[in-house]
Amino acid sequence: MQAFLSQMPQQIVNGLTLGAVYALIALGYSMVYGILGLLNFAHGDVFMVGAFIGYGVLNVFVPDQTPLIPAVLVIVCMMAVTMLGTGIIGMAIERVAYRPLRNAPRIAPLISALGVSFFLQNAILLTQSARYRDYRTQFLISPRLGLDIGSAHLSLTRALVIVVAVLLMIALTYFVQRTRLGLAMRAVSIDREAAAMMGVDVDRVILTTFFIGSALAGAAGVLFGLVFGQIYHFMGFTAGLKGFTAAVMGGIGNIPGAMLGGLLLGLIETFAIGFISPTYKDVIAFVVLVLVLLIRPSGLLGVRAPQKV
Amino acid sequence: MSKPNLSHIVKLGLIALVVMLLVGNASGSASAQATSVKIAIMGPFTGNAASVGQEQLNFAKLAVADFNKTSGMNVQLVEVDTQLDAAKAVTGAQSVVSNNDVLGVVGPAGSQEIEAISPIFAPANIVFVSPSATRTSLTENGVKVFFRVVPRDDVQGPTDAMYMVTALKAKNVYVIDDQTSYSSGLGDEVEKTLKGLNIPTERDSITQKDTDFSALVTRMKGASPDVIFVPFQLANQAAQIAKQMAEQGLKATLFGTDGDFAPADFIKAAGGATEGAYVSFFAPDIHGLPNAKNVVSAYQKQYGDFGSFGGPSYSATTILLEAIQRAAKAGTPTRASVLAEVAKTNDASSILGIPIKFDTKGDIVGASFFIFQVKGDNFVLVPGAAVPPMSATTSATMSATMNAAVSATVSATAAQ
Repeated sequence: MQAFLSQMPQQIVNGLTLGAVYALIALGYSMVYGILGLLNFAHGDVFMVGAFIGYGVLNVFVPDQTPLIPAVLVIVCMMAVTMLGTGIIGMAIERVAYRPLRNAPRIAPLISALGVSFFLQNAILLTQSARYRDYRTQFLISPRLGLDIGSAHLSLTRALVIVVAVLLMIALTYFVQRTRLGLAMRAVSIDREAAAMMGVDVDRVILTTFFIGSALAGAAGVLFGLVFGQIYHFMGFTAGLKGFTAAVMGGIGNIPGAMLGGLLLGLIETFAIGFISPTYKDVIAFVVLVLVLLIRPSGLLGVRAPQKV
Repeated sequence: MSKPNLSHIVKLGLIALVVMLLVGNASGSASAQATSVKIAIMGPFTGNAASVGQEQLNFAKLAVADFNKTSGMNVQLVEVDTQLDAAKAVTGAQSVVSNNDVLGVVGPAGSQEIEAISPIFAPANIVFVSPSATRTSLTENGVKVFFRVVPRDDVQGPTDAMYMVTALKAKNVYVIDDQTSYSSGLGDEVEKTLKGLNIPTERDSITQKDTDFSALVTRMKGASPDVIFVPFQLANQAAQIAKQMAEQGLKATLFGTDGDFAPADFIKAAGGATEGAYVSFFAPDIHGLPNAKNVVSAYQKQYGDFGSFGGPSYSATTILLEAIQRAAKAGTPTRASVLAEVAKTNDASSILGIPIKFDTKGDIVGASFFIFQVKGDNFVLVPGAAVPPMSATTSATMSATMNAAVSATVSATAAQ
């Protein structure tokens, strides 16, 4: 019990950091599913590409050991460039791989998504080689900087990740709830044809959704690189799987659900490692998913679609 | 399709004929003349362990190029990617066996793959030499076609455990493996030895896909270990653990093996967090060896820097190629003659700095383990820590002596 209590604060910090990254990835999955009914399996690889773009920007500004411009600016630059880059990649993927299949049976875009996933993984493998790339965060943010809260140590990097993720989620919520384009997105996700009949430019809305979802995944990639250090071409697979799990757990198609699912998954995984067994962390996480779905089949915040008889 | 007309059929027939001629020519020349002598290399060229596989591949390519240059033969290298996965290794092995030009194989890299493909290579009498698989059971099951240029876990395990207890004075050890055949085998050996010495040992595992170890580090803090043993195939995972340890203030000595011996991943990427950590390794660092100078500079010029898996890969490839050369002297080399020649290998020197000779089980004779410590940007050999392999009896005697010494010390301390 003593061990449990003393470890708990640190594990909460660990869990929230991981959960923040998962939440950002889950958001992209949920948004695309909500609008298109499509599970974008390439999403995890967009996350991976984002991490690599961030790495590229980092190398420009931190060629050796000292940043050429203040660290804060470097990070802002990394985030901005990456989000823009992955947003554009997301739009390109939609245009090339999904739009032609919009009226095809549901399995066709799914297979197309897998194809895009392989393409992205191998594109990075071929151009960047298989070696792990290191973010060398220690040259941007000293690893000793941080806050001690009880028995937990909240490093500056982790605090940054959590804060940035929360800010992005707030921005997204504001966008979806308070702007016209957000309204259009919600309309298209409820009923695409009716929205089109009301004068909504469906193609534009879908492109925007992909842009935002992919930009968030890119942001997640950079944050991931900053806090966990090492990136490689295959990391999108696991990250995508976890993001997808988080989205389903929270209610797929549901934005607050994705955020909740992500944070919860991060905490569950961390607690499983810390208090049960690192070997079985995935088993435990997925068992929890199954239990959640048994009790609430649409996910925690999911709304049961009305059955039209 | 509209109803077939004559010109349609004729066109299809012509295309089919051309294709058949081309394909027939290609395979026909191979079996009819067997002019091309080939060896295959199996390894994780893509996937999670790609950095290991690419290094093994590039060193093998270099070895083939060097051999072709000096011998005048033209041996070709067939690349078979296994992604360190046993299932893919099986498919790859079957394609190798059915390719009659291939006379021998370098690799695969992972112990789990070798367990899967031994039943395929053995009946085909095709020799395979692994540059990195250390699981003990691989040479204990009577397979006559398998050889390796690295020592076994039943030697490395007790060696490392003894070092931790005697030199590092560990009273509490945490063993983490990465769930591969190699890692859990080695972890088992170390845990067994430590338990035999009555040292409290915790055991956990991660997977090779994991990137976040903060929860694990927090968990380990609760156990307060003196030494954390990390026999990983992927050095960057160990470096990541070191960074988390520094961040959370967990003070313990990190002890890695083999795969952790990769300066770029274990030292540089850790940004100083692995300073003072130990790594035991089955070959000397060939960067500094006089025997390896030419190979090292040639490799660096063509491919860049490298870690630990390349040297044995070069060595294994060269052994296979020289066996083919000797077999060719007696006529056209066949799989059986190459197998026989590999078994007879007797090189007085190699780029690993040791002579190469195999025992009847297929293990290399006389390979040592070296223990290195991270100092600054490099691995520095710990003086006096080159441990010659122990036989089973020596190991047992040593354990018994150690046991007695440790319990004597413990009771003496307790009595104070």
